Amino acid sequence: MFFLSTIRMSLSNLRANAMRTFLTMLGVIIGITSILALLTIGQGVTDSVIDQLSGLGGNRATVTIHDTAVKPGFTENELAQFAKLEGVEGVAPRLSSHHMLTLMPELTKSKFDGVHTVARRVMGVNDFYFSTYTKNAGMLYGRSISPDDVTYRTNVCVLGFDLWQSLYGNYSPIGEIIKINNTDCTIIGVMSELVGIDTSGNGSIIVPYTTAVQTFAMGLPNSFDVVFRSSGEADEVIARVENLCASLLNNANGNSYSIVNQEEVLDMVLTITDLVLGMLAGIAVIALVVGGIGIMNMMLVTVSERTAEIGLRKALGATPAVILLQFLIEAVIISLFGGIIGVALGLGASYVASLLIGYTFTFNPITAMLALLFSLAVGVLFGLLPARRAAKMNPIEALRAT
Amino acid sequence: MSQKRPIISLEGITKSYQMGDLQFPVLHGITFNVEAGEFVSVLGPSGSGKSTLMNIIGCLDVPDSGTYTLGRRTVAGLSERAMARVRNHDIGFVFQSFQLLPRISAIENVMLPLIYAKVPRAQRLARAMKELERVGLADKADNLPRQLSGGQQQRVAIARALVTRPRILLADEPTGALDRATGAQIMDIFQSLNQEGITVVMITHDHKVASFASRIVYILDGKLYTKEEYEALDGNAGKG
Repeated sequence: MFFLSTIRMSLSNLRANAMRTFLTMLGVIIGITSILALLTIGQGVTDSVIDQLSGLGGNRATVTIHDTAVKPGFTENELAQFAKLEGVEGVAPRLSSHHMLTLMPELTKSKFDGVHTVARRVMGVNDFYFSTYTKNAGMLYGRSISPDDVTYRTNVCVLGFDLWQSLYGNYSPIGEIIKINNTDCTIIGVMSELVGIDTSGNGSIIVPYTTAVQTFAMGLPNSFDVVFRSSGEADEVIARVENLCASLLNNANGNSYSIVNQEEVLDMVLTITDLVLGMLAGIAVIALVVGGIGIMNMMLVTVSERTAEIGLRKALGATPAVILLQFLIEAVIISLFGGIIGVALGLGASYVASLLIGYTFTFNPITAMLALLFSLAVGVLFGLLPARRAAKMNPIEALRAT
Repeated sequence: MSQKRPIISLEGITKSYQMGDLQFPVLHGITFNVEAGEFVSVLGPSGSGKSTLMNIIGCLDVPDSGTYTLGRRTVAGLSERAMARVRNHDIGFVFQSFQLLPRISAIENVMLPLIYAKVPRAQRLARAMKELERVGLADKADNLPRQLSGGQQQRVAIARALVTRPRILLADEPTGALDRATGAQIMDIFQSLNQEGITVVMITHDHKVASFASRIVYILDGKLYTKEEYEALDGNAGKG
């Protein structure tokens, strides 16, 4: 009851100085808005990145031979040895370089009249690439590269989605011939559009890597991905892979190759995003502290303006605790109102950002509650000094101030 | 003197103020009793210490030495909290400049002490209305102070002083900001309140106003005098 009448009194005092109250509140609004927006946007973006990285597979490692190594790359036979290691699901080598594609009207019905020549990325992969990296997208037309294509170095190719659209529009060219560096390749499939982080396949023409090595002279693959059967035994499998690398490369100290665990990459990304988020949140907290100082400043002015009122209230029987509470409540009302507006604006800002950047917006009630608690704490913390000053005021001197 | 028990009893009260390194003595050993139901004026020029005396009687200030007994309670050594409760329950203040809060209505001003007495809102309204009726301002309950004349504002302030049903009304130059006719009305109210049994202590520098009381004590340079003692002093010393 007493609390209610104090709140009513505070509200009427704040209304009487509406402009000043609003400007003071603005500091808290900006602070809370930026904290909430940064946390929500940051969390959303981080979630999306994790989603895409782990969609790519946390259960894999990338093996790379350095340029100075004794071997230029891994042979088919060596890759097969890696694939046979215990706990390994498969290996996915990847070769990539630009080559001339030629579309002859007599071999294929492309969008173009006459002979069309264009330089595009040619990717050499194996059947395992399709079964792990593009299995979610799948094939739009035809089939993907089979184990036999790899074994027999067949001259076949699969078109990436974007490349297919730019060359053929909506026409399905399965069975027709495209020339890569003057070698006839049969188009056996068109991939559906890849989404996520690794979308390099969309603009490429994909051939068996063995064909790429032999026919297009793209060199032995110096890098490949190892996919584990289960991510739980990553360390053991990586140890086996490392042993095999060392023996194949005659290099015991291991400086001619590197093995990067995708989980480490994920960890690294998370460390960086956490660091950036922490920094931004730190800046937002500074903004909030500035807002709090604004509250303190306004409350100090209010207390000195209302010296006579404080004296009168004391003469009428207000205890120091009651005066303290009254001014503290005023400060808290400012900061809490600012906090509520800030939460609304922050959520609004992160919703708009989610539309612009393209991550999924999630409302986290805990974050919102924390932001409100934080603004409450700012009000109490920065309201305390002015409120104590009011409470300690000598009633005689205060009454004389009229 | 009447046979009643004193409600206010001051014994050898001294008070001085510190200003930098200098001590300014204001009250020199004041001994002063007020019986329950009396109407006493404390008459003195400015600088005589009368406001300090009122502050001590009103529990707004504490004496340096001496004892002050209010009813049966010794005031010395009370906590700030307890002093606030005494001001709330036992004493009603009336000030020269009314001291109404400008942004709230007359009745809300009257209700203010009841908030601190933790009286529920419905009762606060009823009791404040009764006090406004008593000073003849029931029809102005919802007016803001600035919509009232000086005399009306002082009557609101009196209603506020009475709302916690104190035994003592303490007034500091209650007519100082009013014209003579309005001042006389305020004095009429004081007299009728006194007849209802409220003890009134009024501090003033005005002989005419002081004469409304049933007893006048004189204060000069921090010392109290009876009428006879005062007249025995050098006549010029009393003119302030």
